[in-house]
Amino acid sequence: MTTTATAPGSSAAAKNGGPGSADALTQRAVDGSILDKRVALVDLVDLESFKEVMQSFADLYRVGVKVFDAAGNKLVDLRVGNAAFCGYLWEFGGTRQACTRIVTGLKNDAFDVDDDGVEIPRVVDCFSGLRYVVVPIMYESDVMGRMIFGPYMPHSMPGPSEEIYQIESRIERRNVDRLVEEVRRAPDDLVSKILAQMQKVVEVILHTSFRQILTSQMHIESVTSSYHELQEKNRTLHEANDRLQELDKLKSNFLATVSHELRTPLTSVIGYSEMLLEGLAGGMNEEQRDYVKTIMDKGESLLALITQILDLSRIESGNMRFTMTDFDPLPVVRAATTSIVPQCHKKQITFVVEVPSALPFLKGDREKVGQVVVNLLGNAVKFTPNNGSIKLVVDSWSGPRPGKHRVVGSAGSLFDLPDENFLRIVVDDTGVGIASDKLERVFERFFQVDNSSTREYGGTGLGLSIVKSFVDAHKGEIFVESTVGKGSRFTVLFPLP
Amino acid sequence: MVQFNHAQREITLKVVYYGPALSGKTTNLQMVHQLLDPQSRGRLMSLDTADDRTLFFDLLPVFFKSQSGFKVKIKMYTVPGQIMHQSTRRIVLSGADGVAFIADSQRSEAKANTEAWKSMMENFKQNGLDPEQIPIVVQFNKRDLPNVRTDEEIEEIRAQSKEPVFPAVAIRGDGVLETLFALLRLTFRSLTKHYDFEGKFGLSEAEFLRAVFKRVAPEHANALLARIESGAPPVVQGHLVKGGGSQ
Ligand SMILES: Nc1nc2c(ncn2[C@@H]2O[C@H](COP(=O)(O)OP(=O)(O)OP(=O)(O)O)[C@@H](O)[C@H]2O)c(=O)[nH]1
Ligand SMILES: [Mg+2]
Repeated sequence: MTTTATAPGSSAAAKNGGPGSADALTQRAVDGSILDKRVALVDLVDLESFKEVMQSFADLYRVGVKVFDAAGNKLVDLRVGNAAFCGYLWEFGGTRQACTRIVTGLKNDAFDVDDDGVEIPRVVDCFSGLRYVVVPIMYESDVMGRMIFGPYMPHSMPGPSEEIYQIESRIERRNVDRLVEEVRRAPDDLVSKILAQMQKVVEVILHTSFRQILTSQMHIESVTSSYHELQEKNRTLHEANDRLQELDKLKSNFLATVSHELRTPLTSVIGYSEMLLEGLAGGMNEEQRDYVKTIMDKGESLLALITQILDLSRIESGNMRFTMTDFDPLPVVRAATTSIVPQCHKKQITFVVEVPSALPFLKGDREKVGQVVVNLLGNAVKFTPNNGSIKLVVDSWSGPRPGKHRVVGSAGSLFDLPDENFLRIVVDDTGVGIASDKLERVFERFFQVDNSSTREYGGTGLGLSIVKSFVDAHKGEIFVESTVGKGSRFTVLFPLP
Repeated sequence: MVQFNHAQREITLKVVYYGPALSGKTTNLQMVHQLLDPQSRGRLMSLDTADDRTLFFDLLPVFFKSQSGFKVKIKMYTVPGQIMHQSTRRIVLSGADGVAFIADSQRSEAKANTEAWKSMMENFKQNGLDPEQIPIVVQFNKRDLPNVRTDEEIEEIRAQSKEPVFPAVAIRGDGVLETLFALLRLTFRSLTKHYDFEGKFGLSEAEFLRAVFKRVAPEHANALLARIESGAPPVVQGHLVKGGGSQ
């Protein structure tokens, strides 16, 4: 951004490629604020417009004008009327020397200062009797350059000076008298009025240009600074994020370890309870049997829970193994269906299954695909009230991968979505449904649609996130649609080879 | 950061008017512009929006030549107070040799004052400056409005803070020069400690202040000049202007 912007006042300077060029100005935004920089006259004025203003003055008052910047570079040079006269004096050695001295002095000699230390105009009389006035171009007490007015013939002078002929004897009086007629005659007080006006105009030009430069430079500097600040904040966020991910991984490892450690003793508890129930340690009365049975039931649900946590943390720490083979999904789906039937009976839930007699082969982990179906069906049963119904549809389906490229109102992004082939598994239920603001989050770990449902329906909130990670591992898609009070539909797409 | 240009025999100082949005920073500078002698100050440059909110800054340069022949420039800036101009504030504040913090006396603005003060301290640090080392004067502006902090409250703040505190009604010019005077004096004292202005540049505090405040309106000038001569302590006891605008 800083390399392309140009300060408005510097366009003329940029053409010269001088020290005040646009590049030099924009560079300032990088290595220090414009506020701390000293600005040169060429930075401040647009040279072409400045020349125009000077030209109009020269035309109006018929006086020559030259402008130099503080470094002595000539910015403006307008001659009016005196060209032939001065040209004639220039032809002779003596007068040429004298002329050179005058001109050099006009350009270089320092200004006098008043009582306040402020630079004041200088009046310079030429040996020829003509007069120049040199006016400092001031900006905020700095001398930015000088304007040289003249030469003109002051009214107070009767005519060309005799000094001309003393310096150079070859000069002819009648030529001088003829040529000086073309030079402007002016009263000094008129000249000082012109100059005062001129100074004001230049000051306004400088002020306006400086204002413009400052505005554009401050704009650039402010934007640049905001940008750096944002970048810095972004970096901090990134770091925080990295740290969190690290922690997350640690936690997954920890969970895996702990779950594993818990499973071993828990299996013993269940095993011993079983032995007790089978009477291997002697007979028990009814009450004792009840107690042991409770221990075993609770132990088993605890084991199921730990197994889920273990699965999840294995997936997250990247330790879950997927055994990918080509297999027929039909028996897998059938087995899953059968396993859910007893639960449906218990709640008198109607279970509709629509599976064709043959399905295309799938490449994936047979066991995990089965778990996906079992989990989805188990969820459906869990959230469907007594006498409700659930439905499983499995088929093969072709179409663009959904959910990836949906940009509302932008058909262009949908034009060339490729079709893909999928094994589609759809599970409908007539359960409580999920509010639309929660839909996005049902696949998050430990997410519960609400706390009351945790109590009513039990569970860790891990099932769906495990399902999703299995689906992800197969590069598949899972999504959910739901109407509160009516039911939900989960759709899984496994890509076909 | 004060700049010295030995070749050009020039010293440039920077002071900044900081404070929350609409507290009267620009008004202060406009008044300074009006009250100072046109000989010693430049044009007031305001980079603002159509509705007179400061966009980048206001800048009023003040300059004079010392008897020892040094040109002294004081650049006086205001920052934009609106929250969104945070970056600009930091840029303008950067390198300040002294700060006038213009607080809004209205009760409703107490929080805005605090936020602005905190952000100023934060900006100092981000600019690599130690806030403890920066000369700061505080002005409680808009004493003419109803629902402002009482004179007693201001007096208590003044008594407890290490910064000089001044009440002001900037739109009427009350307290404006007093604030500037204290700011420049404090700034000069802080700088001369490091750079020995008197020894190196032949510039005394009295000459510095007199040059800025010369030819100001007589009713202000006499009081201010008397203070220069007497070398009164930097904490100037500002006379409080009664809320409600009785003066
Ligand atoms: N009543 C009253 N109004 C004041 C006083 N000083 C300033 N104001 C008004 O407060 C408003 C804001 O003043 P500014 O000087 O523009 O405030 P600022 O601090 O520069 O504001 P920003 O540039 O936006 O940060 C203007 O309408 C002023 O006239 C005061 O002493 N009394
Ligand atoms: Mg302002």
